Formats: sequence, C-alpha cells, structure tokens
Amino acid sequence: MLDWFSIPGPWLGVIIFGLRVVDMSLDTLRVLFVIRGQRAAAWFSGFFQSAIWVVAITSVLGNLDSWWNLVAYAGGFATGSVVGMAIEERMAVGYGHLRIMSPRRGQAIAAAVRQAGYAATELSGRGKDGMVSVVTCSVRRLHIGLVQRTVGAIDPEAFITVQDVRPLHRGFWRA
Amino acid sequence: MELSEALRALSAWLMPSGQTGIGLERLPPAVLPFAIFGLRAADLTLATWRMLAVVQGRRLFVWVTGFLQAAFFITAVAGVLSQLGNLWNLAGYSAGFATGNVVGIWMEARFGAGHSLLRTISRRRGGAVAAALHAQGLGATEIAGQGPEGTESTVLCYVPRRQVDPTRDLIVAADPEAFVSVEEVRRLGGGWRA
Repeated sequence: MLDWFSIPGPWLGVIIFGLRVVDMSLDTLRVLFVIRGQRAAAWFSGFFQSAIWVVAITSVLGNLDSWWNLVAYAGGFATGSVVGMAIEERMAVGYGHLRIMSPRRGQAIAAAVRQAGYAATELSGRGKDGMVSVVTCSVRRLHIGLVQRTVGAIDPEAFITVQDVRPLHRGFWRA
Repeated sequence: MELSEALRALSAWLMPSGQTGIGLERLPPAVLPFAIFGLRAADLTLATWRMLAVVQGRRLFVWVTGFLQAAFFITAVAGVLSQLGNLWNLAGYSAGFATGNVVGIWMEARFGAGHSLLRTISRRRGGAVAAALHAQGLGATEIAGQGPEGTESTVLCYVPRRQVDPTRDLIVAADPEAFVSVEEVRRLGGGWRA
C-alpha cells in the first residue's frame, strides 16, 4: 500500500518503531477513555488508531525481515503504551474523589481545602488508636496535585487515596 | 497490501523453510488447534494484565509486558494466522483469545501489584470487624452512619490487591451479614501498617 516502506536500510526499523508508537499511544488513550466513559474521545481515538493500523502497520508487517525490525516493532508497541498513558495523564480529563484520613488535623485540612476553593466534607471515624477525621473532596483530575500539596502542608502524615468518579448530579467544582 | 497478504508475507518470513518460528506446522493437524489455543491464551493473558496496569498508571510494568507481548505475538502467534482457514484452528484461536482474557484477570487479582479499598457495611458488628482487621495488622477506619435499623457502621480498609480475598474472609468471619464492596483506589500519601 505504501511504497516508501520498501526503502531498505536502518530507516525501516525507525519507521516501524514510530508507527507502532503512534498506533499504541492512540490505543492506550482509547482504553482509558472507554473506562472513564468518554464516548466521543473514545470514538475519535479508535477511528484514527484503526486507520493507522490498517494503512501503515499492515504494510510494515510484510517487511519484518530482520531481528532489528522485530525489536523495533515490540519496542514501539511497549513505548506507545507508555506514551499513551503519559498523554492521558497530562490531559487529565475527568474527576477524582479524594479521601483524606488524619488523626489530628482533619478540621484544619478541611478548612485549607475550602480556602483553596474546593468543597470538602468532613466525617468522623474511629481508627486503631482512637478518633480520626475522614475528609472527602471531589475535584477535577487536573487539580489533584494541588489539593495533595495543600493537605501535605498541614499534615504530612495524612493518608490520602484517590479514585475516579463520574458526577451524576450537582456538586461544587472549582473551575 | 491487503491485511491477508501482509500476514502471508509475515508467515513466509517466519517460515523460511516451510516452518513457523517454533515449528508449529509440523504438529499433527489434530493437535494444531490446541497449540494455537495455548499460544493465543498466553498472548491475551499478558495483554489483559498489561491493560489493568495501564489503568493503574504503572509505566515500567506496562513497557516490559508490552515488549514481551508484541515479541511473542510476532514470533509465535502471527505464524499460525495463515492456518486459520481451518475451522478447528479458528475455534482454537477464538477460544484462546477468550480464555486469555479471563486468565489475565485471574492472574492479576492473585499476583498483581497495587491496593484496593474494601468498604464494609455492618449493621451491628462494625466494631468487631474493625478490631479483627486491626488484629491482623491492617489499617481500618470505622465511620458511623444511619441505616433502616438505626446506627450502622462503615469500615474502610486499604489492602494490597492480593490480600483482598483473605481480608474479605476475615470480615465475613467477624460479621457473616456484612456487605463488602471493593473500590480501585490509588494512594497519594501516608497510610498505616503494622
């Protein structure tokens, strides 16, 4: 299909590597979009991923005539997966739900999080050594690092977890 | 070049003297579907495990398994793609694909890295559940809530994924009627463990 793939020499391995990187980046992005329920993004990344795969990769497959090309193929596949993850992390589409547990400084953490412009809900719980505070807070994924630093400044020992959430109704989201 | 042509060319490369990379076509035709099944299942086990690691954001693991999976696919699995005209071989291929998915999920649950959050809702025995978890050296936080029969407990417990099943058994032993669910979480900082 693409005649320029018949170009011999070391460039073929580089081309195979590059195509697999692009292909797998899109594929990894697509899987992450599917998990987060982002249909439009999943459709577009799926469309371009399969287009690249059919047009380019099949042309390359016939030219896998050396071990270098095989290593380039597998290396491109592996690198593309990681590049896709990095791109998705940078885009940080969606929302995260933070759960912060602190034995002593729960109130101060909730106040600081609110001061920073996010909504926080404080619950009281019981741990192994007495009462603890559980502060929950839903923010855009882009802001997770900022909230984490805010909490860390007040209680470096606080136990923080984050999980993906999808908003269903209302809530307070700092722009 | 069509996909089938490319695959035929790939097979020709893998079978320069009429052999696949690992000599599959020398197998009796009755055994070949099972060999295809095994190769595809191994390939998809790796792929499934890798995808779960992608979601967890574990880049090094994703790179290594991605490299192994792609190399395995092209040396072993791609060699049999030209044999899929035979219905039995096709059935072995498809069953291997499906089985690899399930085995990958199973392997990941038993050997995978990362943690899960167990959320237990107990009507009467929340304190006993939290005490049983603490006795095992696990961190557990009990939160009071209102249920249909008055105050009930929610116990949060963060454990390594491979300990999810034993911990569930521990919770159920403390309260056979407890409602236990698992959430996929990532830890950002802190935490306690004996």
